Amino acid sequence: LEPVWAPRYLPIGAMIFVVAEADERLLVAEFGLTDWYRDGSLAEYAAVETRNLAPLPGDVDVTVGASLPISGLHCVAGTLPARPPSGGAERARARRGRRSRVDGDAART
Amino acid sequence: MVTQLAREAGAYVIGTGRAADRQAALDFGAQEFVNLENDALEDRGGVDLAFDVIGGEIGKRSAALIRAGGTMVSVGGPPETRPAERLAIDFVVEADRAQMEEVVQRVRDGRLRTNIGNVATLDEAVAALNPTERVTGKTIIRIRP
Repeated sequence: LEPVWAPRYLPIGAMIFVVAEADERLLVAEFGLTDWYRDGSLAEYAAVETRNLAPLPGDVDVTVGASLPISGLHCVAGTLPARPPSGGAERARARRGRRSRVDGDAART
Repeated sequence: MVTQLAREAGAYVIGTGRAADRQAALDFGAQEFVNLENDALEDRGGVDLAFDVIGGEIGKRSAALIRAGGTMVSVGGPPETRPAERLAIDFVVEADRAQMEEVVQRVRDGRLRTNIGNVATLDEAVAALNPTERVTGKTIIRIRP
């Protein structure tokens, strides 16, 4: 998979936006995440592998889209019963009839 | 968001946080709320799954409440305490196209709501990311107005 330079991803019709997290790491994406381990995430331009992006449907506001990647991926990977992503986390499997506790800041998750 | 997903999966959800978080947690689907400043976590009894983004002392106390066969999920670092016969999961999330599409489809279907707090411009980004007061909801920086 070839990396793309984020601003040049614009021609597909989506806006580039920045997801800002509490640790001040800036993640540039169409809708997705840059590689956590890549330097330069604060640079004006960032190379993003296409596999790390997904199209943001036109009926989803970009502000909403910007709020989804970190929280959404954590929550899906952490709760839903499905196959774990390749190299990713095993899922915890929230199920009917089980008691779950959610600790922490609703803003993050 | 995790509360909504757990509810959709059929779980009974207990949210925790500060008193100011109570209504938001309930609005997002939690059936109960524990005020960490005043209520005792232990009063709610055991749970099958704890999803912890705080860590530290709260994380330890959460781990102690997990029933045998249950799971502790933490996203702020490995759990300091891992009770026997419980599964502990800690991970650094990675981009996954299929999962992102799953998330955004849930938003489109109305099954998932996001919690946006402050939307700021790029010029306001430094101040927005270093708030002097507690901000509820996610902070979004818009590069272009």
